Amino acid sequence: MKSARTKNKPFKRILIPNRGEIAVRVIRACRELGITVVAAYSEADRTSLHVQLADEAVCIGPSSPLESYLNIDAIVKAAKDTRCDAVHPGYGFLAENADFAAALATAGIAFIGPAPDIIRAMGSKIESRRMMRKAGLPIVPGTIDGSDNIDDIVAETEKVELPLFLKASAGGGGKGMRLVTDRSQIRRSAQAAIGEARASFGDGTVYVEQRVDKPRHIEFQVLADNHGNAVHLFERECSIQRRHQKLLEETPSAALDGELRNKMGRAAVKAVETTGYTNVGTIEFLLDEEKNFYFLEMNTRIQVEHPVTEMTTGVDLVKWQILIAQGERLSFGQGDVCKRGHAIECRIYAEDPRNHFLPSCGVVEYLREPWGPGIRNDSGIYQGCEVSQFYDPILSKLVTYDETRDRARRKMIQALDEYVIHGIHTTIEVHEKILRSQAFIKGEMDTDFLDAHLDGWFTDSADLPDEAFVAAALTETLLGVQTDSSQAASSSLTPWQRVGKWEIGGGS
Amino acid sequence: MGDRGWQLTVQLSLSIDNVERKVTLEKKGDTYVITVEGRSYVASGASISDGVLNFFVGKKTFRAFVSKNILGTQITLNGRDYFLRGHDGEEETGERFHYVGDGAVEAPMPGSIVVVNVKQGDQVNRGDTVVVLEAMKMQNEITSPVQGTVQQVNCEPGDQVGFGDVLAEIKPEG
Repeated sequence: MKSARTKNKPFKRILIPNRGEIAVRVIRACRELGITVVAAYSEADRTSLHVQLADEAVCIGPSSPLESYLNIDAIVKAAKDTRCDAVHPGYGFLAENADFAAALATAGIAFIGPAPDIIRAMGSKIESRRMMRKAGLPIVPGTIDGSDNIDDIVAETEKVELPLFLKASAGGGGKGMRLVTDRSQIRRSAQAAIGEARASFGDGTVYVEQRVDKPRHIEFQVLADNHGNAVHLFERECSIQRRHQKLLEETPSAALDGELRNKMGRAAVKAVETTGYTNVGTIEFLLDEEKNFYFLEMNTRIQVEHPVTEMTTGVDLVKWQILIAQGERLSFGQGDVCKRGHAIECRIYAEDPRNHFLPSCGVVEYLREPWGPGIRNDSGIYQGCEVSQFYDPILSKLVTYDETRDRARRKMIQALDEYVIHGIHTTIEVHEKILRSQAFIKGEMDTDFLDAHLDGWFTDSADLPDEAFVAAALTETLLGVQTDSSQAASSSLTPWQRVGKWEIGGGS
Repeated sequence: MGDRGWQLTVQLSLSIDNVERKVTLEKKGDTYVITVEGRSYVASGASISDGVLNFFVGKKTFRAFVSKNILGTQITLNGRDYFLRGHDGEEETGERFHYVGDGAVEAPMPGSIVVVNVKQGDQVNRGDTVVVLEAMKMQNEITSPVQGTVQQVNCEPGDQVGFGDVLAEIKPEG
């Protein structure tokens, strides 16, 4: 079944059936490698940045993801029609879809990622827990088998200590997951978890996992070629989450010392070697307060937060994805991998922190991006572009790099200050608040940190500085004058015109 | 013009993030004297070019980014966003206000309806989920602003709705 390349034959044309900042990131990597890029886009993305940056672009369907970015037949056809020899899936959409990888293989087109069978195995939480236990990795205590029968699940929970999680085997992103703190809730929670799993993933299988108290989310980047060589590229800490959605990531983690880092890294490499995994991947662990670590899941694709690893190791993960898929050998071993300094990534989402983080779509009316030494901005937007309701609200990822954690933190605050996006709401200010919090400064955070602290952050407007009103008065004055003369087209009445209380006098 | 030229005074009532301040602005030649609730600042060298507002207060420099867009006048100063509303009885952004008590359940964003939880005649409490609206891959629970009886449901699963569309109407109790 597995037909991964072992002879290095460079790709000539790569199709990217993805969008936003990750499509832009992959397009740049392809062009740098001398490969022609074809963007496969939906109708909503006709004027998006990735379409503009690609060498060629083909429309694969309507705006709804199901009819375009998730449409396997349309994408395989587009790859054939444009004579592409490989497809880079990015993240999200079909990036972890084994059927998609298999359909491409059947069509004689390379999927830039691991083999379909391992994607399928890792997509099942139950199967991946089983495989990793066999590979000798510690897994979160709980049941090994799952079920979609309420009575079976209730019986299984008897063996697990409270509090516990009911989790969908096919799950992710918090869907099909229920926390149980009281035995009397179990039946109701099981029913809800099964129903949600069935609705979201078409598979109602649920299993039981003990809850790890105040966990930190630590993941290891791995890289494996088709010749049996595997390395890890250290960890990323992703504990700053809001409702299971990562917001801010960094490397190295303040929670690991050299010994624990080596131990976890070796476990990650062992997982890759035992399962025969190839290409880039991420092993996610939970770390408890006693510094015990447990395998959580494996992601078989490039991660959103890959840039922090690139900044500290100097390894270009997206290029290596492509090179490995071409059949190239890793040019370095574990002993050659070293890290330096500290990197932080802030995900900038189109969400309104003042209004329950509701998605905010619209036109980016004004954009200023930060730059300077140690600043990287992986972005999918431009001034004048439209942020559509159809897709994930990620706009960009701002990354800073410096010698120490505190310097990278301060650099990030400065960069966020210089990041201006108007016309839609964004999470820029949320990051500033996180970065200035005592918990973050001390490196003491767990995955519940944000949900516990965020509530009051945007309700106090008592601290409005006078200079904001000075700026506001000047803006209304000066923009009003401009509106009269040069930009007459651009809009409505200013307070000058509205208030109409001009007092004109001669030197009072 | 120097400070013997025309002098203009305008009184503004500015509201940022729902905090209102009385602001007076006097133009004296090339400078502006801006008084916020009795505290005066002399701003010089003020200009706006390509959305960048520059000015001095004494030797201190200020750089703000400003634009007029669908959210109102948006000002970013030292990394913080301010949404400005001039005081006026008939604000042009009035349609963005949510009138609690009126019982209209409005779409806060464009998206597609996934679930409709209520039907005509149902009793609902304030905060109950009326519909689930999917936008940007996220499912958002749209809740009832009031306690009352469902009078009308204007959407069904699969519908595409626009910003501000009335999804359901609740007759408030009492």
